[in-house]
Amino acid sequence: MARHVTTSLPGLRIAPYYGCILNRPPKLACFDDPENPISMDRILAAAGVEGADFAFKLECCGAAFGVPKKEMVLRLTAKVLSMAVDAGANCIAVACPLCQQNLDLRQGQVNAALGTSFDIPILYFSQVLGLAYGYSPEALGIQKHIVSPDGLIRNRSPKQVEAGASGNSEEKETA
Amino acid sequence: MRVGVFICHCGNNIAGTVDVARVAEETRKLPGVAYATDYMYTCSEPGQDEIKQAIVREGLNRVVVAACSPRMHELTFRRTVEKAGLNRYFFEMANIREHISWVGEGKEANTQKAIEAVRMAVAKAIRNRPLVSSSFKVNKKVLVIGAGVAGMQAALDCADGGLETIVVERSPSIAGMMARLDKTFPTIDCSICILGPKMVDVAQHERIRLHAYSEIEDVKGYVGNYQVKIRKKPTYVDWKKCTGCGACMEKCPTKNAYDRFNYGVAPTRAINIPFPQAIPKKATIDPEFCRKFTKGKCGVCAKVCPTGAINYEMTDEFVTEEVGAIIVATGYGLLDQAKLPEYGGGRYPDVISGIQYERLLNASGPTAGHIQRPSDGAEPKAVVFVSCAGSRDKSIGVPYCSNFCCMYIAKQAILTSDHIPGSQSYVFYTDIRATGKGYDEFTRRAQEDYGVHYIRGRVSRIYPKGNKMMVKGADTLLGAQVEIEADLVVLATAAVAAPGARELAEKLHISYDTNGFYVESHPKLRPVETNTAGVYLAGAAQGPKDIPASVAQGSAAAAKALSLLSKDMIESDPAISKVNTRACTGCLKCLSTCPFQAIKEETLRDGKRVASVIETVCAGCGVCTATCPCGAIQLEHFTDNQLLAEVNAICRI
Repeated sequence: MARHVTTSLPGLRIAPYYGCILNRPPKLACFDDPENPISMDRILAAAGVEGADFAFKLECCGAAFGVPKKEMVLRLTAKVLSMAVDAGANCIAVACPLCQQNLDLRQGQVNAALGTSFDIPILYFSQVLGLAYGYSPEALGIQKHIVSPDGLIRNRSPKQVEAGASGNSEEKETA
Repeated sequence: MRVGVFICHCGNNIAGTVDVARVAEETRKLPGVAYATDYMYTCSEPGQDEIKQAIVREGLNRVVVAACSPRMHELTFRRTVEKAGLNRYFFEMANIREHISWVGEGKEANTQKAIEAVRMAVAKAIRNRPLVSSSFKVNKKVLVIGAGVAGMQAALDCADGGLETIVVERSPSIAGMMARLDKTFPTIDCSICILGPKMVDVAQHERIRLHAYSEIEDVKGYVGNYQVKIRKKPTYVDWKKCTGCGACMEKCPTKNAYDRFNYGVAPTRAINIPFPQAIPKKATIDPEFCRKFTKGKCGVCAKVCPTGAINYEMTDEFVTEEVGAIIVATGYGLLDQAKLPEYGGGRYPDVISGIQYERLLNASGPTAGHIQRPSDGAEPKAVVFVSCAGSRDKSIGVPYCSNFCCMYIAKQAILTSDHIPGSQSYVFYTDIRATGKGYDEFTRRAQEDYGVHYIRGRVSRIYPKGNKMMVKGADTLLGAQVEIEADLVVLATAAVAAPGARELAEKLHISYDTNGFYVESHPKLRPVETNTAGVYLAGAAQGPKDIPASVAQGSAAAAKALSLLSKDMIESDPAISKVNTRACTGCLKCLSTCPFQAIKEETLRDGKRVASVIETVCAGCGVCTATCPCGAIQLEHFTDNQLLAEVNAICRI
């Protein structure tokens, strides 16, 4: 994956958010560690973006209770967002549309209900990878996000190819 | 042939679900059966008298008892028939309790099955041959494997009882886990202060010889005559010259070696003496970290050693000890924190294990007894203890209770309060298991006098937030979720089998359970014996247990060894394999399948090569008889003819 990276994204510091059921229940999901998944962390590292050590990568955001228990959802969503900010992240990467929808769409509601001021874009990890591979934000649908990541990706630039850099990353892959 | 059959009621255990009178009645019809009766408790003294009288009165020459498992009472009844003048191998037992009455469905089916079981036993008894034990000399020495508190107690008791005792310890020093503890519950005694004198006694006892930093390579032989090959691992320091001055440790430039004694609470030097009271107090080089071994150059310790004891060329050395009995006291290990990813899995420095906390509390530990959390050295004001960190959790393969955690957590919480006035401790518990003498009072003291906050429920997640550790869990008494902001979290990680426990069990031919703990011969009545004669168990190698229980078992195992070796000769079991040299073709397949190396090649006078059984080594397992392509090896008391007679008896040919 690292070999195809053409663009560096120095503005991003990403908290990978896996959500509660991407890798659980372990016997059914058969994917990554049920308590400490690292596959998205590794993909983002391969894309060359800086990651944040995010303790709530599996914490429930409550999305499924959006209609019957909205107050609870706002509280849980706020916890996830606030932990990402505390971890130094300016962006959250997700793998699931429900996670994306909930964290992105509800940020305004969270801010209104709890008096917070979250302004943290929620990208799919595949969009981050697309940006690193040189696709335009439009091609990746980035303009459709509620919380705009424009400011964070403005300073992306063609990747400086250092001597032996790609060789190094290949070595890492095989290792 | 005159067979007498005794059907036991075992109170209601058998008679409740088997029509014993009918079994006796049906048995009377069998050819060869001269007498059959049922009896309330055949194993009782009047029950045994009844057998003896019947042998004389009815002129019996074979006896069958249909009762419990032969593991329970076979020996009892063999002695009974012997007292009445019969060879003890003319006795046969039918198990109609464990195999039938306790497990069967319905009285009619059970009765039918019991009749068949008795028929088998009668058929075999008719073909039983008289066997006579031979006796052999015993070696009055004992080997103790593992020098924790259980092993040391066993060694001291054996040596005080007059036996030459050899102690093998895998670590550089004796002492085991107890030396790592700060205080002991429920008396808050200083652990090393009460253990130290015992260690000195072991070192100075005239009848104890110690092989430290050594492991068991190989065990041959049999009860009374074991040959044990011991591998003395290279310390790279000549212990005959080393004075334990510690100059090497002070000057060693490698300052990041893993401290095995302190469980990595702080780094140590690549050459070190594990702790101040170590016995022997000698230095050992850890080649995993020593620059001489990792980089090929250094040699500082060799330069500073005043006695020239350093020897980088040292290799394994082997010694063989001959002993009559072996006591296994290899202790336990601790669950790897990586198995607990929801608690950080070893990723967060301020989430530590209970044994690491002991080292932080201990005055001779890396922090000189000042509680400093690993991340920044700060004194924690809020400490959370998590019991059952792995224990009682089937999902990670530890379904059992680790026995001592509830108590040491209470102790550590009390000590925390003593060390840091104004601190608050929290304990997440599943159940408080404080069943020993003075234990419940102790855990109550932690709660009532020291204000330790006990929360009933499990912890679901531990995560960092700023410089705090957040502990999230359930309070099942309040029915609420709780979240506690902690400075330090202590996990009572599960006690697991000691590393290498299974491999050692295979060398010793003793059994271990699914968790790797050694299995005793009988859970109630033979708690320190194994099913291998002459091998005894002590301490946590058999299952997690605290200090008093380990010491008691150490003494118990020593008593068993002393009683075994109090005789000059012991009797061998004659139920072993025997080679018919006329049928043996000398293929020697048996030699390679025998798990006890009890078969050797022999050349007869006419030059024919045959297999030959070493009588004293053969354990009577029967593997060779199943291997032999021409039926030339027969296991006495379980010959093909005897077993086929049993099969025929139930297949009605």
